[in-house]
Order: sequence, then structure tokens, then C-alpha cells
Amino acid sequence: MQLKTVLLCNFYGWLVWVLWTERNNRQFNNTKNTIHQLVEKVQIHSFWWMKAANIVHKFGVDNWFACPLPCLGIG
Amino acid sequence: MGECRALLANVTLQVSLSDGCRWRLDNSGNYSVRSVYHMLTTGGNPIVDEAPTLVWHKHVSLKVSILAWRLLRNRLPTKSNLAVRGIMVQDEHLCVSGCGGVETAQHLFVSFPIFRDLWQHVRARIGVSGVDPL
Repeated sequence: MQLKTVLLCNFYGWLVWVLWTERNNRQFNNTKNTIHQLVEKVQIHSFWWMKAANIVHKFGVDNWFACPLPCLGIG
Repeated sequence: MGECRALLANVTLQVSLSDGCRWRLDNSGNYSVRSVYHMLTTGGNPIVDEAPTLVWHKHVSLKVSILAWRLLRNRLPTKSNLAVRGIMVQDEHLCVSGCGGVETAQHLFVSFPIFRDLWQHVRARIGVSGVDPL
């Protein structure tokens, strides 16, 4: 399977996870995040995970946020 | 009723053409066993077919995999599902946003405005175009 497909699924997976936790926060903790905070959460969590998953990173978190696919030499 | 209206919104009636049935899987518009065979052997729905491999990929976090899998099987404890299981009263199954919609997985992840926009925001940020995967 292509790395790009896996990466996209990774992003979308985190997106689903962030969505569900936000729903739980709204339901049970009475807190709300803005859409921009949610987008950032998706990026931060995917970044942490990719770093931990032993994929070689030659870039910082800023580059990752600005252009994740080019950072990995694809897209 | 509203759903019917939405389905009919972009239908234009033409006086010169008469109504008819069309089999979408064959270009001729007529049913053929060949077209069904082709659909079945090439995998009718690539998203659903590939979902297990993508969800359970080693580069995806386990907690994310489990959540995504439950979502794909519609097993998340949404209020709608809880009501079906008899844990929650039917009257209390409305979405937390107060939009008046029933809280189903479809509603939460696809139709609910802020969450629907999140898909677009994330796509724009990572620089890909395409349709929502759900």
C-alpha cells in the first residue's frame, strides 16, 4: 500500500478520534474547542505519533504543520 | 419530506423525453449479468473493501484503530445507538449541539456543521483534494 494512502488514513484516523473526544467533552465536561483548535489537535497528535512510529524525521513540528506530505518526500 | 425534496432538487424534466428505467452498471442502460459480475469481481465499494487494511495498519495508533473500527461498524455509543440498546430514553437522543438532529454516527461525523468543516480544514492543511472518506 502507498505511504501516502497510509498517511492520509493516519490523519483521518486522528481526525475521527479528535471529533469523538470533542463530542465527549461537549457532552460531559461542558467545554468547547474552536474548529482551529481541533485542526491543531489533529496535527499535533499525528505528529507525535509519526515521531514515535520510527519514521525518519528531518524536519521540525512547524514544517510538519505547514506541509506534512512534502516533508516525507511525497505529494 | 425534506429528504425527498433534496433528492429532486437538481432534476430537470424534459418535455421531449419520455421516462424510462436505466441500469447504471452497464453503459447501454440495460441489465446484464456481465455488468454485475464485473462489479462483484472488481469490488463494488473500494472504500469499504480497503477499510480493514487501512484501519488496522501498523502506522495507525491502536486507540485510533479501535475507534475507527467501531465507527465503521456503527458500534460507537452514540445516543442513537444507546437508545436502540435501551440504555437511553428515546427522547434524549438529540445531538449535544442543540441543533435538533438525532445523534447518530452519520450525524456526528458527517452532517454536523463544525465537525463537517473539520474534514475540509484538515484536507486543506495537508494539501490534498478529494471527497470525504465517509
